[in-house]
Amino acid sequence: MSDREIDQKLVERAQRGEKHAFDLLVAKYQRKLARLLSRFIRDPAEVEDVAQEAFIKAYRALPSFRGESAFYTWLYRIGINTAKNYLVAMGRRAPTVTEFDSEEAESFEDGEQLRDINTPESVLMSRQIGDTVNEAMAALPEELRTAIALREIEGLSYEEIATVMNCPIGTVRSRIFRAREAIATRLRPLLDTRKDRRW
Amino acid sequence: MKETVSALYDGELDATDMDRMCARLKDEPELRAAWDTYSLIGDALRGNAGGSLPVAFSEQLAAEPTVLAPRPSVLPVTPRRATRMALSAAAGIAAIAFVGIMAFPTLKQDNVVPPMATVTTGPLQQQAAAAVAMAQPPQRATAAASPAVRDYLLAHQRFSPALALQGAAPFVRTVSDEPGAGGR
Repeated sequence: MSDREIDQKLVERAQRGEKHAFDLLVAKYQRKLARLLSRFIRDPAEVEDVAQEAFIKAYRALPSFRGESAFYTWLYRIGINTAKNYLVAMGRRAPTVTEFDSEEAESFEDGEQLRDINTPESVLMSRQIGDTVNEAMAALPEELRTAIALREIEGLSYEEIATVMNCPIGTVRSRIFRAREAIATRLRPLLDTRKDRRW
Repeated sequence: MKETVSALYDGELDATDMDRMCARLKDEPELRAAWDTYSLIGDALRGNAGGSLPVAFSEQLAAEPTVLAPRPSVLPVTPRRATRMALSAAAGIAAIAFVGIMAFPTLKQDNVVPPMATVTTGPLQQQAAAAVAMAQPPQRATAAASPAVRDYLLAHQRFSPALALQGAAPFVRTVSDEPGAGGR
């Protein structure tokens, strides 16, 4: 089951009235959507408001989602439209169609050119999270580090990782889980200091 | 169990395990927290650790009326389903053919005697036979009509709406109905 398929399954569950399934999608895409919106909304507080509004609009529009595109592509369009409407309502210039073509949704990457969306306080927090994750990665045994890097950075499936690392798929699954747990163990004390956020 | 959450997050569970895991994610906060943390780790590894929504958003989402969408009917065409579709089509064609045959009684023999008329013995059977005779199609009545009425009907038969539907059949009947025709 691919990333798109797992999203589709969660959407179908949400369409059947399981709200927690949509909440899992929010957890998965909240930072990606916020990062996208920060490309043309400067104020971090406004980015947060627009992101929340976009997710609520997406939830209300779920009955119309037919799975013809990936969930994130659909969410991307809703996010862009919500941001445009917000900027127009605020009397500011909305981005043109060419500035944000939905075609780039699938390949959208968080590049260096993107504006940092955080306030000074949250800049510090996100920097601390980033540093902790990087330190935890560096401390991992090589086979765990390689497995999770191939999954999270290169986007390979377990089968592809098994081929690259020349080991069974079950081993890949175990290594990725152990890598995540090792990083999470270092991360949790930090996250506990900000309980007002959905990590 | 968290290992299963990790595999679910990566889309590496089959449908059955996924269903089971989704149900548990709903009820077990620890597993749900694992999902959130794995999501954050993935974003952080891709250089995007900021932008998490406030906890208050969860309450906002919880306050939303639950949406319910009709299930999409995008079932795959299996051999069994294809057979069922073919049988449905055949049944439809058979129904149309049946209606067509019933709508063109002139294709059948003209001088068929109603079966009920041949078995009339008692009073009840005679009443039933009378009812059947009244319910016969009009062309049977014309066969027993007077010569004047028959001439009138023959003269105006081309104006009958049945002509457009029955093709050459009225012509055949017209010839056979002419007085003195041998084929009666």
